[in-house]
Amino acid sequence: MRMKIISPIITSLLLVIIAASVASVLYFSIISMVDFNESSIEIIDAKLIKQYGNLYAYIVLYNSGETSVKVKMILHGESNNFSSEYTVIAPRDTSRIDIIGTYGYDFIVGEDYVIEIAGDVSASIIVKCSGLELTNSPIYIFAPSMLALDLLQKPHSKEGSIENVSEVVNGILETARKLGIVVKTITSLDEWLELVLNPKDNVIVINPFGEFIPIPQEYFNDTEKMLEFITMLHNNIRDHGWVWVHLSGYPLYYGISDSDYETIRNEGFEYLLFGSENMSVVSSGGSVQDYVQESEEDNTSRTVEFKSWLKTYGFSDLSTKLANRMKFHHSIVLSTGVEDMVALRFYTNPGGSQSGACVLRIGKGLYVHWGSPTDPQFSDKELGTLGLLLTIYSIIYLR
Amino acid sequence: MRAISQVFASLMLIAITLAVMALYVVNLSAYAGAKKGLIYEVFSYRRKQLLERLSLIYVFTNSTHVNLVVYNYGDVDIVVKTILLDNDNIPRENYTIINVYGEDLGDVISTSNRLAIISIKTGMSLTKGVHVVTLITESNNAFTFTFGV
Repeated sequence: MRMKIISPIITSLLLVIIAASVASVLYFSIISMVDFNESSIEIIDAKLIKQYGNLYAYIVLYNSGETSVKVKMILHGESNNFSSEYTVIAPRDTSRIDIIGTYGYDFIVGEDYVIEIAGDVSASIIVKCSGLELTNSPIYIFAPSMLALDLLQKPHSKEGSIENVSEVVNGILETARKLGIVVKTITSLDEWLELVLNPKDNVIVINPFGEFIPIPQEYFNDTEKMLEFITMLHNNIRDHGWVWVHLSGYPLYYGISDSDYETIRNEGFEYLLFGSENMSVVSSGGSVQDYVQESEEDNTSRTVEFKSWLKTYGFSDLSTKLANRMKFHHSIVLSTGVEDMVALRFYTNPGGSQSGACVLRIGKGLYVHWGSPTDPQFSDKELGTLGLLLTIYSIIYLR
Repeated sequence: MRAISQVFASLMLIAITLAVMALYVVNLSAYAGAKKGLIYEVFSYRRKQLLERLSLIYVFTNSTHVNLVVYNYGDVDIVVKTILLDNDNIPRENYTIINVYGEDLGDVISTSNRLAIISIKTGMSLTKGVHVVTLITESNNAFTFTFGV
């Protein structure tokens, strides 16, 4: 029987093709093995727990590769990154990396954050922050550097008012850090204008400039334009649940922009409370110094409870300093149109016609008023701390 | 022209195919081995988390301490890693875990001794009102309890 044969050329070609195929398979196998080794770290579990100022973050990693790896955890917060020490994980072993500290100020409960693994291998995971916090409302504060501060050294602004804006801001930031409250700074008038023109809901704005309100250049130099800007602010409070926090002096008595200021007078405050419509007359005490005391019989009075609340969060000294009787400059005269807006009272005069510290409700939002106490005197830093705490307490109570 | 037989050519092809298959099997086996370890770790880790159960029975305070009576009603021992009371991360030296006879339990509330008292040194009376305590365990469970004083 004659055997059929394949020509050597065809055989050679076949072998070459097979060899090439085998080479390709080997090549891709090696590549996949390399990939496999590179992604040898597997994330088994990750958590982000906040309790007020404290933050507890951890990640559990499994090294499924054949060699040890040296890695660290990088936690990406709202404005900062927090890094752990390097950890070496043996092959086929599990290890846990922690970040524990007072970093709660950079995380908001309910929001997602990235935990990154860096070092010999890299990986990342998105984790939702859980736990407890006093407020998740965004708090904005004007940075002192956005204005020419020497303008604030006017002699009459020192009547129980703010002398050093930076100290007020420091007081707010230190307190926010301690309690785990996220505070964002407004660093320019443009940024401020952007925030007002495109309002987010439930924004809290703390004004550390006392009786000055920052006015963007586009709305400055003309009282009508300044009042138009303040009306937009009023609309944001009314419709978007904004909270405006006034810390000292006559509210919105002056407009300030870059390096100059203009007097607005009492209309600034009136436009903030009432907008351009439904205008009522309101006065902020002026130079009259009233004895103002807490009024416990009124169901809107919250001074006693507020003092106890302060102690709970570690502000005993401030709580003690809030005396039963205090003297205020720039209390609000609770005229007919204003009286109905009072949501909380902290200090009123014996007749109840004026309040040195109170919260007014404007539509969905609030106006927090802290006049200028002259007896006892509060340092600028204490004023910042007090302003923030008074605001947080008020929104917890009223929302 | 010299040639190789069809039988020989077939044998060569079979040999090459088997070699490639063997390579795949080895790779797959290595991959599966690693994944098996991972799956085991994930399951044992999650299982322990799910089996941990802790409840707060009672709280009593004095001028220097707050004492939490807790009960481990789960199926595994609970190792307390961190305690947060209100806004404070309590340092390890400022709390003890004891049984009802006052014996120190270290960090473990075991299933053989389910009732334990966590005594936290506060140095002062807690203010009147609501307080929050969170116990974070070694398995990374966070047990949060609120209590009034």
